[in-house]
Formats: sequence, structure tokens, C-alpha cells
Amino acid sequence: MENFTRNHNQSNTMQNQIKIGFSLDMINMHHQEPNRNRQESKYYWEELYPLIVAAGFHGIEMPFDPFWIFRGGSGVPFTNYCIDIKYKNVDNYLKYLKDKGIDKVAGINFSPQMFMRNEDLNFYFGASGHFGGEAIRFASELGCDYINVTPTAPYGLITHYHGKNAEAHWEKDFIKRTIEMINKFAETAAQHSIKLVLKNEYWGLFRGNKISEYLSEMDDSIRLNIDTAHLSISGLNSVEFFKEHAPKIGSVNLTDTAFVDEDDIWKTANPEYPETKATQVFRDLGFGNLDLISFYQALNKTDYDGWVICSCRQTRDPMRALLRSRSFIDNNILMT
Amino acid sequence: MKNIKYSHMNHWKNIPYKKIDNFREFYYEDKTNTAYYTDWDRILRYQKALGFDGIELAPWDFPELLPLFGSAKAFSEFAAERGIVVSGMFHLIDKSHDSSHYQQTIDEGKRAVDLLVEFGGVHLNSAPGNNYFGNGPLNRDQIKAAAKVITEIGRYATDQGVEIGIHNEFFLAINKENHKEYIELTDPRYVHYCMDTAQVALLGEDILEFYDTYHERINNFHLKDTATPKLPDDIRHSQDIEIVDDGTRWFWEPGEGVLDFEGLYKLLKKHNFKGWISLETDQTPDLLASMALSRYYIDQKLNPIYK
Repeated sequence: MENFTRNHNQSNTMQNQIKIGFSLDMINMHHQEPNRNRQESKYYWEELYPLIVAAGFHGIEMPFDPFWIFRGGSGVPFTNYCIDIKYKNVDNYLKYLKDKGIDKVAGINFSPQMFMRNEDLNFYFGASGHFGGEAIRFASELGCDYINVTPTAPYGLITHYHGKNAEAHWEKDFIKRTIEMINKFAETAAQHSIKLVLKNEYWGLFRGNKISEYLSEMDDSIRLNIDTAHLSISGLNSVEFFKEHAPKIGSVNLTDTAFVDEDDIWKTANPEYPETKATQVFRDLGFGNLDLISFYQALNKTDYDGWVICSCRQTRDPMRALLRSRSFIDNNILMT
Repeated sequence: MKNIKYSHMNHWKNIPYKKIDNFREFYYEDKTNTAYYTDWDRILRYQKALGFDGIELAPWDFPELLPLFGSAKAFSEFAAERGIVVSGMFHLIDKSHDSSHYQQTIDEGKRAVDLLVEFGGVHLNSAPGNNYFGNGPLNRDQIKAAAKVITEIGRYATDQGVEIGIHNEFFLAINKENHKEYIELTDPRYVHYCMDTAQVALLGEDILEFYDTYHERINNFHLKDTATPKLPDDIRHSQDIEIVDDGTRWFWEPGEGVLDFEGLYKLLKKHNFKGWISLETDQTPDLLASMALSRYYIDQKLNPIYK
């Protein structure tokens, strides 16, 4: 990239058409921090979009979070319900984003975690199936290239509600129902021309390479996400994982971490916050210890032409996270 | 012996840790104030230090709190070790105006009562129904249905040693035009009232007149101020109005709005109020600062009148 010129269009595109975007998951909507009340109002997000662009990102990924349907918090643009209330329809929202310089909502994330809240598995699978379908339709309306679906709630959260008195085969049955649900998502995604991608977090039942055991039971159209931090914490190397699964990779999240799961934290109910020792599991890009440069080089040597989304999901400061990410991308990734 | 016990309505969003033992190390990871609001141990210690001996919990706390502690009882024991008791819990009586939903609403209410019993709390402060937008205006039968539901939950609560309190909010279908009608339709033996000072004012009531009228029903308070009492219908009836697009706040710390709290405390003295008053500082950008600011106001302005 010696001849790389820093204009907006080129700064996020490599020679093999990899596109670099930024994830709105940097806004911590579910945990305490000073000034978080602002984040529930529409103005916060409308001030944020131009700042994302100012940091050189023109594509975004966003969570699909049904929590905001039930809390009157429709200022948070994380469901079609919220968008319809605040912008009348998705087209108006996309026009608004475009006016602010955001050209593309690359993809959205859906996790069934919020529905693991009681001992009723029918509730969990019913609500997850319903809102997963909503998320796919939302992704389609937004013109996304993909939807990342987290296959299961965290292992420890499931065992909190179902592991105490459950029969010995609860895990097998749970996985069976999960695969059925995912295959239905695949049907819905195909109907809406959206790529369904599984985001395999380090705390799920399919963590690490275990997901490979079940791919044969899933629809061929289903793709895999690479999240560099999640893979590392699961004990895998992102470069090796990519080489092994390259044809099936559907989306990439560039994330950083210094966390090593020595205490089986992945089995706890809230694994993003290790109970044995407080730490920031997900660091701003460049502030962990992952070799993201080698990973990107590996990606760049192939014909992967999808999105690479920078994610700083536990950042202490979204504005710093944006600029830190831009600095890291410019000085490390795009210079490789 | 003080007549008033002070609690804090929990608006700290999810607190992910019980107790951070590696506090200094955690601080040095990023050198921000994250370490100061990330564990329950410190949150509860802040409360105790500022004279709020109770905590009122809410449904949005439970998806993380209960798995974190393992049970409601375990949380209460943890809090008690720091000198804090669970004074109560918030509950939304969903679809109360819809008689076809009656049994499910009752069951949800009973589960809330049972959970509060596990926490060892007394006050189940309950929003009487859903938002005005999409549901209002309610007809007489719907208001009666809502009153029937809360009375039935209240009967069950009373048997369990819990007191259910109507906690109205300015944007609900039980609103200015039917608020008093609804109260009168409930059975005073089983249904009490949690007077949220700001919400009642936003609805359009004079808080002094309201308390003077209903003091026998009012068994606990949510103490908060507002700068915009008597909101017009078009605001109270609009969609998702609690959280405003431009960041307008309806709620302020006591003394930072316009409500007559000194007048209210004179009435508390007149009626010899005894019980919990929960400071509620929702919509603040800084819960700890609001708690301290409110404590100063209580100590300097309100305690001299009645405590």
C-alpha cells in the first residue's frame, strides 16, 4: 500500500475489496457508566453518526436489540420498531445516515441472550425464533450484506436456569432445538437474500471449534463469523481458523483482547465480566495483545471481499475508541 | 427513633461484578472511573455512606443480578452485610385494562410478590398499566378491570406480608383524567399508594393537595423533583415520551426542580408518616453525584422539618 492515498473512499478499501466498518456495539447500553442516560435519546445517536464518519468510517454494523421495544427507549435505533417510531420507516433512516456520510449498514447482530431469563425453554426458543426472524427482516430492509446470529445464550446463563435439576441430556436437546431454530433462520434469510452468519462467542455452546461438529446438520447457506478476540479466548488462532474455514467465512469482526480464560470463565453466567478477577475483556484495537496484523495479512491474501468490522464493545470512551481504531487501522492494518 | 427510613431506587444499570478485589489493578487497566461503578460492593457502600439504608430494585436489574448472586436471598444477605436492606421492588402490571389477559397478569403479579418476599422486601410499587399511547383513553370497564387486577394481586401480596402500592406515571393509560377514579375503585385494604412526587406533579396534581387527600393510602414515596409540572395532554399522551429525543429531563434531584418539598414534609409531620422514602434519580447522568446532592438537601432542608 505504498501508493495509498488517504481519501475517504480509499481509506477503507484494500486491493481485494475488503471493506472496513465500525460497530455500534461500542456504545454500552446495558451496563452502568457515567452519562449513559444520554444514550437512550435520539439526539445522542444523531450526534454520533457524523463523528463515526469523521473518524473515517462510512460503513457500520449495529446490534438488533429488542430490549428497546419494551422500555420505551425507541431513541436507540436497534430495532425496526424504534426506527419506525423515530423516522417513520427504514428508508428515511437510511437517507438520514447517507446525509451524514454513512453509506452502508453492513450487517446487524442478533443474540438470543436476553430471552434466557427464566426456566421456560419454550419461552426462550419461542422469543428467540420470533425476534431472530424480525432481525433478519430488519437486516433486509436496511440493505445489509449479512446478519450475525449468536447461536446460543451463554453456557453459564443456560445452566443457571436449566442446569440444576435438568436431565442429563439437556445440552444435547438444547443443541438440537438450536440447530432447528438456526435452520429456520437460514430459510428466512434466503427469502430475504441476506447472508446468515453464525457469530461464535467464547461463552456459547458452540464455542471454538465445537461448531465444526454441527455444521453438517446446518443449512449449507450458513456462514461463519470470525471475531478475533472471541476465537483467541476460545483457544484458537484466527489465522488458522480462517485458513480452515475460508470458503465459509461470511463476516469478520476485528477485536482485541489480552484476556486468557484460565479459570473457565466461559462457563459462568456473565462471562464478559470474569468473576475471579475484574478485567476489560475486550480492549480498544491495539490495546490488547492479539496479532491483528498477521490476521489481516492472511485475510488479504485470499479473495475475501466482505466486511471487516472494527469492534470495541467494552470501550471506556467511544470517541477515543473511534480514533484509536482509525489510528490502528491506518498505521498497522492499511500499511501492511 | 426516626420516622423516615431512606432508600434508593436503583437506576444503576446492570452492575456486572459482586465485589472487585483487584480494584487497583482494574483501575490501572484504563485509568478511568470504570472501576468505581462496576461492582455491587462499592455501589452499596456508597449508599450506606450517604444514608440510604434501603435499596429498591426493579425488573431491569434481575436478568444479571439473579444469576450473579444465584438467588434473591443471596443478594439480600450480601446487601445486609453492608448495612442495606431491600425495601421494595418495582413492577409493571402489564395489560391490566385487558380482561382477556387477566389470569396472566395476576400470575405475573404473584411471581413478583414471591420474588420480593425472597428479597425480604415489603413494597411492591406497581405501575397500574401500560402507556396511554396505544391504549388510551380507557373506558369505564377497562379502568374497573385494571382496578380489579391490582386489588387481586394486592390481596395475595397482603397474605405474603407485602404491600402493593400504585405507582402512577405521567405517560400511562391510567392518567390525569382517570387517576382518582382508578384509586377509588381499588380496595384500600389491599392496595396502597407509592407517591412518586415528580410523576404525580407531571400528571397535573398539586403534590400537597394529593398527599393531604390520600395520606391514608400513601405508604411510601419516590422522592424526586421536576421542573415541568402539569404537562399538557399532548405530551402525556404521546409515544415513548419518558425518554425525549432531545434529551429533555422530566426528573431532577429534590431541590433542583420546582416542587414544594418543604411543604410536603410539613404534611408528613402533620400526618405522622412512618416508613420508607426512596430517593429516585432516574435520568441523571451521575447517580453518585445525585445521591450526594440529594442527601445534602434532605439533611439541610427536610430533616429540620420532619425526620
